[in-house]
Amino acid sequence: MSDNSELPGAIVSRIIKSALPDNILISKESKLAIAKAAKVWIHYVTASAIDFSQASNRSTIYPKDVLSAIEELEFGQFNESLEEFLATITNTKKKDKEEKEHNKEKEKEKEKEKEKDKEKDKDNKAKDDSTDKKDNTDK
Amino acid sequence: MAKDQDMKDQEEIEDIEEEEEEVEEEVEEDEEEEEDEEEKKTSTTTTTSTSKKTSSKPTAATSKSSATTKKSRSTVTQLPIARVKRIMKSDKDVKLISQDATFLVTKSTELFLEYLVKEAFKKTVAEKRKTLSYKDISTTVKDTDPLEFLADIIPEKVLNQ
Repeated sequence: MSDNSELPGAIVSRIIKSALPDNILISKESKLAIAKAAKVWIHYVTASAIDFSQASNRSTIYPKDVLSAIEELEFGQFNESLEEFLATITNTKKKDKEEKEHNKEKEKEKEKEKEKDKEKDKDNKAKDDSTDKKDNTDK
Repeated sequence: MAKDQDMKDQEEIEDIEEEEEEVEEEVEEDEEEEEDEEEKKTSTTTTTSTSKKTSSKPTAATSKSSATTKKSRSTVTQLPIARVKRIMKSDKDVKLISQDATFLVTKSTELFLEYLVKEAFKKTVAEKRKTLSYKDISTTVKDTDPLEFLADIIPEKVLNQ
């Protein structure tokens, strides 16, 4: 199970590589050290965010607690891009919701149309049947 | 008035719990993605969890293309949100985490990694080397005040021998 509480190595090394120029190599132990550092960072930020949430008598960690925590830990330079990131995800969420509602409405309309079509089919069938009967009687 | 506030808080928390269930669904997908990647790297591993999901796994021929489409789907963060959340929850004091807070921590981890690597790389450049070595990281940790929290897990190497 220890595997599940570690960050995936492939993704971590992808992030490391994208932060470095192409022709630079990374030693294996520095990769390990960086992956460990990332895990400790998560614990570090979480612990500090808990302090902020508890200070305002809450048991839930909110985004503002995370932002205050990062500021407190002297990494305030991250907060600008983090706030941007937060804005984009809330926007995409809104869009998703709107899309879902839109799709639902469309589906409803489609169902209505289907029902109408069914009714029409029934009518047509009834007509067909009657004409068939007429044909039969003619013969 | 205080009661009203309590009610509101309660509602908010319930909302969050609902959101969390939604996340849990995403989580499964994320994990599949990871497993796909791990499998590519080490095809001989016999992990227990991968065997569970063999049914939903694409065939070897199509796995590459599907992996790329999956990547384009999770453009929000590179790191798996589920993992980050699990690591956060391993702290005993954590009770509830809002979904956006998890997103933020995940994103901040990516930013932090980038920061740490770039700082360490400055040392590599200063010594005109082409490999980022452990020493670059450990000296960065020692020299940078905000990184002091890493001093225990990334110590400066004591001379070998």
